[in-house]
Amino acid sequence: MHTLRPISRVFQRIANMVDRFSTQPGRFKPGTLIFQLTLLTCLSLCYPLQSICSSNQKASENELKAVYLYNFLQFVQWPSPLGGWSKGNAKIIGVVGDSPFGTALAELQITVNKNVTNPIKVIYYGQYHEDMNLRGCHLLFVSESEKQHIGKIMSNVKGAPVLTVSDVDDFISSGGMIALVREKGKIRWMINRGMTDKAGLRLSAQLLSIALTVVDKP
Amino acid sequence: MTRARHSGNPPIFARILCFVVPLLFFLSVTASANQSSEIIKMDSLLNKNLQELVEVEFSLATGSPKQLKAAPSAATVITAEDIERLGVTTLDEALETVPGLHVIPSATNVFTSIWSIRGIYSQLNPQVLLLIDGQPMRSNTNGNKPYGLRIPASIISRIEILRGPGSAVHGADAFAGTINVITKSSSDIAGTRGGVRVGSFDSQSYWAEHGSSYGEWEIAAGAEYQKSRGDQGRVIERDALGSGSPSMAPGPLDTHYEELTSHLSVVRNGFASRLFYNEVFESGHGPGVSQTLTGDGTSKGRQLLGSLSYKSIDILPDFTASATLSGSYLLAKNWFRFFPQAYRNMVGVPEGEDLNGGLELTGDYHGISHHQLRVAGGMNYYTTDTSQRKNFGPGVPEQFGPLVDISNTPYVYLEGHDRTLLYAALQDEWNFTEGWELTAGVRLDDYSDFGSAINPRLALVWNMTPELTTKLLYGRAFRPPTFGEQHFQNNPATLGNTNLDPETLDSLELVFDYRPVNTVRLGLNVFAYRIKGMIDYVADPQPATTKTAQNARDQEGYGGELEADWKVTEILRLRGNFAYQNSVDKATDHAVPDTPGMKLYADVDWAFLPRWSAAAQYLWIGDRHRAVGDLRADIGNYDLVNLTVRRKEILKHWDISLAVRNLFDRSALEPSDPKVPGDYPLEGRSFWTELRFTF
Repeated sequence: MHTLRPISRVFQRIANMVDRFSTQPGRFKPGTLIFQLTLLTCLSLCYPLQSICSSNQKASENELKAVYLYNFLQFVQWPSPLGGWSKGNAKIIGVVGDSPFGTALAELQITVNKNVTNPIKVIYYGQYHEDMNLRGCHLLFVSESEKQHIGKIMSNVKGAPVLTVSDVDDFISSGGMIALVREKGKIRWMINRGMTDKAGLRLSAQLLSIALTVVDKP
Repeated sequence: MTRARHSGNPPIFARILCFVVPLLFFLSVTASANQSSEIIKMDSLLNKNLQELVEVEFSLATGSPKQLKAAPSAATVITAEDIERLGVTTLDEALETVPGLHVIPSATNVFTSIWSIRGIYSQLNPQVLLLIDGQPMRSNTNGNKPYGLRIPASIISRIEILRGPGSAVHGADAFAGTINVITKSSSDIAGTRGGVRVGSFDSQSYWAEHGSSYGEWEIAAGAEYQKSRGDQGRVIERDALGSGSPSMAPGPLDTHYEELTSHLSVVRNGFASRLFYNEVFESGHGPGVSQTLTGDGTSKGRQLLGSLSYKSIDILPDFTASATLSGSYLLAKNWFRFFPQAYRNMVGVPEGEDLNGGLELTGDYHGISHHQLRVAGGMNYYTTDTSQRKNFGPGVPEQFGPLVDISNTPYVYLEGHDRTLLYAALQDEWNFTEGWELTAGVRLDDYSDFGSAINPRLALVWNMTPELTTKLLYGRAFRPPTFGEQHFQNNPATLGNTNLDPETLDSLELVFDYRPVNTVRLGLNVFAYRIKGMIDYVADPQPATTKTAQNARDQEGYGGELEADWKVTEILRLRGNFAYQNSVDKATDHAVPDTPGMKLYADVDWAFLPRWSAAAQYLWIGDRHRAVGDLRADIGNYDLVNLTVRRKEILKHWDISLAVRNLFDRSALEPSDPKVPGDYPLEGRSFWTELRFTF
């Protein structure tokens, strides 16, 4: 207990100092310049501490989702002849509807294509209409704006080796393959294996094991 | 003396400002530094493996306004993220952020909240249709939402608000607007969460939710219990009995409440079943049923909505079909005390029980190039049963004595009634040339009691440039007379009329949606409407003291709304809207009373440090007029400021929020019945804090 005494004495002295300041009128009252400056200094000192302590990193949702699309391209095997990278061809990401990605996909393309061995290409199809052929891409991202047309879009690519991905609610039950979902501030995905099997796509074990859920809906 | 007091004890807000100014300065410096250091760049994201990526948190996105751009109506969507960042705790608080919509306590008997949209306003406001997961939530007796209903924000995934007529899609009552509350799905929750919120006026809320997939079953469930004593500072100086004995005025409005709300959804292979349950244990009557403080008037209610739907993709080539079976049970129990007991022991205990059922079939056909056709048809059956006890009026032997059960006698306020509705709707979205889309729809409703109504709508959407979308909208809506408006009897105040026609509304609207860059959205809507045959209770010729429902008046109005949404940086977002409306009661040629002619709303959301965020809301209500014959001066304008600060992961799995409502303790008044001359005060400054956990 004796060892604690010097510490308590230090606290006592600080308390006395504060007390003295606050009992002297006009010296250290909230609202005075000296108070504001002290507050500012204390807070500024706290800031580096705070940033050292924090290990919490965040990414823009658009960029994070774009990087997921790129990862899906790597963890899914397409049946030949669409095979892809081994032949040096670019893998194609198609976006149908209003792109929610902002500049993220363009940035992804530039960053990825610096490494010429695994190039990608992005096609923006725009809003869905009947005459569209959506089968010309490896991965098709269905935007929220096309929610009304999901049934039609799924029929459009039915049977073709196109990996369908979306962040629209109920995408899996609408016949989609991979649904991106928000979970506790992070992005996760759900997989409908029934649909990927049907399309002849082979998903890596890693993609399946980290998925939030894997369902098998025909 | 005064000077000494000033220097010694500066006003509390001066003192708060002294803290806030250096704090803001400090934060703005650090936040800008923080932004570049904490947001992970694309390069480093690409270097992470899958396991590392799933640990990366994302920052707030702008929501999903994109799809709204093309919606053939003036729509607003409020998402769960908006709700969380603004510290919104109930549906009413969320709706106050919508342009042209104002939440007002009803000046009629039970002080329930009503939603006035674009100057369309009546005492129980059945002109707004509330849907929960697409199912109507309204009383058959008055067409209003249940008394005292407070839908907690914790169960909401998103709220879709359509301003303007929606009868071509939703049928009856989608008149001034439609509010669809979508409850959380299993992927919205994805885990188990809960929270405790306590605050001023002894208010407390407890909520919990769970969502996950079990094999092919996706299950979501949530519940919130809310309770409050109400702000005892909402004092009215005079009531219908004056001030001082026998009146209980001056005294506080009775705004206590106790409520439980829950929802459950089970989805599997195209099948979805949803259940919504709300129990109002207690809801105070504000100034009292006869604008007289009594101390013990309350409403109780039980609401149960259920639906089972099946959606089949590709049942036929290019055809999607769905079927929905729905049912609802609404019980309203009121304890009306008309005066303080010591003055006159006058009590009425009416109960209404609604049981409704319906079946709807919908088909979407997209086999014709550039067309998307939708057909829908269905039937609904509505019944109301009533019971009543009271100690006054016809059928009661001893006036103001013991309560007498007059259920199933000719003296009851409303006998049991039922009606059947058959309807069919057709809609085509025609993409007739690049960038142009025409949506044309019509719905026919045929009611067993008063006849039929046809409601068309037309929407021409033109994507002029990728940045600018223009919409021209025409729509018609109707509101059928309710059971009460047709059949009220023996009431001390209001009587029904079986010769009523539905009230109808025609509206024309021009919408501009401009997104010059990805982070900015600007919107401008201008509208004009005309209502014919608005149903209102009109005073009967002397010497009768009753009012009878009539297609009493027409109303015309025009106005505009300006909206802006700017995501300044990844951590700072500004939003705001301004609404103006000018509505005229054609019977008197005067402005429609009590509803605001102008409304300004703005909020700012700022993630000022990692895991910290703060949101401020500003609301200004202005330009409200009195009714013709009400000699009081026009009601004053008011503004309110709310603040919410959140800290994520204060401990592992725990988040905390702190909020101040009406920060400057403004005296904000909402229009009262003239019997309470001083208007109804809103809540003064209040605080709450919430702890939430996530597993």
